[in-house]
Amino acid sequence: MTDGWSDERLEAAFSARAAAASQPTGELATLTMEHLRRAPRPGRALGRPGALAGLAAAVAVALLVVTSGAFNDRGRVASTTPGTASAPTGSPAPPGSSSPTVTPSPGPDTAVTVAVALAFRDASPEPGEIQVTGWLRDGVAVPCPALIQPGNPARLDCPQALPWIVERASDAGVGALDSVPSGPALQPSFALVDAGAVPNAVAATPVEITVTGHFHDRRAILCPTFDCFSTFVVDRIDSVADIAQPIVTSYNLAIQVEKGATTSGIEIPPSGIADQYDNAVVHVAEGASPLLVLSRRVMSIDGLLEAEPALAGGWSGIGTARIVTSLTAIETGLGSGPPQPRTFLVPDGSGTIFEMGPTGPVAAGGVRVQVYPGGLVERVGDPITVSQAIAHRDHALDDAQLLVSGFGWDPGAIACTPIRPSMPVLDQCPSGATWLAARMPTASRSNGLITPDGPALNLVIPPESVNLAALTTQPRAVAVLGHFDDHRSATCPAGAVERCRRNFIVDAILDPPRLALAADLALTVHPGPSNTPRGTAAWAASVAGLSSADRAERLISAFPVDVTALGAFEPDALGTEAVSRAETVWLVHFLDTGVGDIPIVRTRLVIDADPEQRPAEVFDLTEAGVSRALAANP
Amino acid sequence: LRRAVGARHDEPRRHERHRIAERARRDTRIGPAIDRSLIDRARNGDLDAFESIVNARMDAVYRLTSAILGNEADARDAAQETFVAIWRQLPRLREPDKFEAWLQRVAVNASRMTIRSRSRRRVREIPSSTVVALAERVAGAPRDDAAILDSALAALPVDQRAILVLHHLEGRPLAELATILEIPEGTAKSRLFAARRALAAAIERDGSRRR
Repeated sequence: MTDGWSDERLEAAFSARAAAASQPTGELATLTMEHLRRAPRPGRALGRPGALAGLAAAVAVALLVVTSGAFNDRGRVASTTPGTASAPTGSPAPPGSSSPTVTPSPGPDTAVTVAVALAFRDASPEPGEIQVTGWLRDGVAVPCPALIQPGNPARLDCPQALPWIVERASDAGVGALDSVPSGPALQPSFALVDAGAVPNAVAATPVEITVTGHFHDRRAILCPTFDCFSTFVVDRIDSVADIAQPIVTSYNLAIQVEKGATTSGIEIPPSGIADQYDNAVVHVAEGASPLLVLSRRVMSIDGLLEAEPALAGGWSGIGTARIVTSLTAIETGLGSGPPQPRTFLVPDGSGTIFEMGPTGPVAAGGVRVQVYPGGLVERVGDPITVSQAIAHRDHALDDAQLLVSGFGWDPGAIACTPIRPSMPVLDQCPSGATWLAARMPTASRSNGLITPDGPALNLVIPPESVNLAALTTQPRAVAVLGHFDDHRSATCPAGAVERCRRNFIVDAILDPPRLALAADLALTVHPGPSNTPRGTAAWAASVAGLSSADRAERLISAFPVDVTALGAFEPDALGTEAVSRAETVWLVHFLDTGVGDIPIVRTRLVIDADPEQRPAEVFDLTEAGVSRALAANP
Repeated sequence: LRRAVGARHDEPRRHERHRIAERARRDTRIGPAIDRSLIDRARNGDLDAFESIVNARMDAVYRLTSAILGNEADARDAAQETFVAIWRQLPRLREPDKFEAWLQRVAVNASRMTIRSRSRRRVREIPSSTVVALAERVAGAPRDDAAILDSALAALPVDQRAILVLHHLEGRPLAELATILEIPEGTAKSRLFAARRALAAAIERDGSRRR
């Protein structure tokens, strides 16, 4: 330093200057904490500086409109005195809105207030993703009419019963059935987030909440009125009562199943870990900025149609999936406006990521997350011995598809006692004399029939497999594709259900040198009574989810059945609403992957129709009953 | 020659003593280290844990903002803004072990933002301490070093004030200056040098005016 200002002198001067300055009091810390308790910590930044600049610009435009007093909610002429700010309000508009101080929050990490969000809604028709902070209060308990199906996340059914996000806790409104917020407020749609994550917040004690979502949802176009464009669709709950919330996976795995005249609701189990697709989705756009996943949703077909009503007409990419994972993400790179939400769909087992576009889902970036194994042996594993199959039945009974090697034969034409109809997996004549044995039998005979002299299984050949399971009276080496614990076991007589579960149900009998399903045979078998369908087997397989490229080594059979004969094949389907208007249905059997990645055989029912007619009606047949599947219209 | 060698030998010891003294002074001023569990709890949204941090560090942060801004009202605003920003950004803090350095960086930034917003204000508050100082000057009281420094600092850009305060008041060595300001150590050294030259020039100008 110059002029004799050594380091020591300078430091002493700094210390003396600091000592002379006023000292803070405890009040400063108290005031700071009071401020923090009033303002919740916002969640993660949307990560796109340009986006928030765009938001700020849009808000600035909105502010000009709002503060000028020329317009209020959705452009209607305001009744307020010129020069005063009118409150932009949610949908529906609460009466008596006060004049808010509408100030765009500065900085990229700050959530906007409800008033600013509403101004943004009115300033931009784009579904820009924004973060909104306010106070959540529940709707009021009122009886609601039956919900309109299919659902739509942008549609607020029975709005009186739905929650509000209000600008200030004091705006929440208290009490009466018709109470509505008194200040700036919006009614969010929480249809796409986990219902359990939405806090309960009675009007008297609203809860601070910060959410990320958007107005002008693309699904609003499917609503009968324009109100849906004003709905704030929440993609993520960022914080509740100042507690930051993690990215969560929500589930809607409910399906409606029919058994005869009975309808019930059940949930189907998820197939895997929901976040397995995160990394693929983040980098779905090669060369572009990585995406930021906001939320995940794992859905049954019924759940998918509630989230994406546009798919009700079918979806060619769905394949045979019963579960679809949806991921909502936003871009993190620079852009000219707020980042728009992007929705990605991954059908279970399809191996392809789809992105929802204006015309429906399209394959995204050629990203494949999984490759379905190809050949039959790759799907079900190498053939096992009869003894191993028996051990599987006795120690690990499930419906896994098995390929069992041995020596098989049937009794040929024998006199049977009358069989019980509509019990396709009950061991009835002639299955008691149809065998798969570990060893070639000697000439031991009983009542003129060959009997095995070692480990052996009785084979139950259901009607759909008759043409695929050719045996002779002379034992020969075969490989039998089949399974225990068939989904129709419950249709066996009371007291015989467990026995039916242990029966080995044949799907096809193959020659050991050629362990492959016959593609031509799969489309030409016709085991049921003759009828005159309008569709074809190839069409039925396609709409059931097996495109021509996906049929090889996977499709076991697709054939028409007169509905009056359906009980012989699928007793539970008979009498259901699903088939009540049909004369002919198609049954499609195919290999698939079940819970725990085990290979299983599944059955789908397709209502016969003109192949040009859309949408096709497709149903899953499981032990639970008949449930809707999504047609994979080609 | 012996004196010269002795001086060389004494130099590290003097330097070491200086560092120990600096650290002791700094630690006394800042207070005991913040418990890591408190930081973790605050990161996870525990407002009570954050309140403990605010109570433990408000004085130190206010002293820093006050030294940089030289204005009571501004210093209070900047100190509050510091903790508001800390609370909001805490979940994204990648290195909780560097919380203290981060806290000071945020305080410096808050001071910078306060200066900017103050320049847009039409009416400035005059803090009581300034009124007292003016009264003393009017009364012809001798100007001590603190007053000279106060006057000279007011003429410097806020970034230069900040680096001087951090080094000469808070006792931060170059390596820590670099960490706090998120600049390379060499850059910290050159900025500190430039700030000291600017301060010396300001003191000289101030003295010339008074003479």
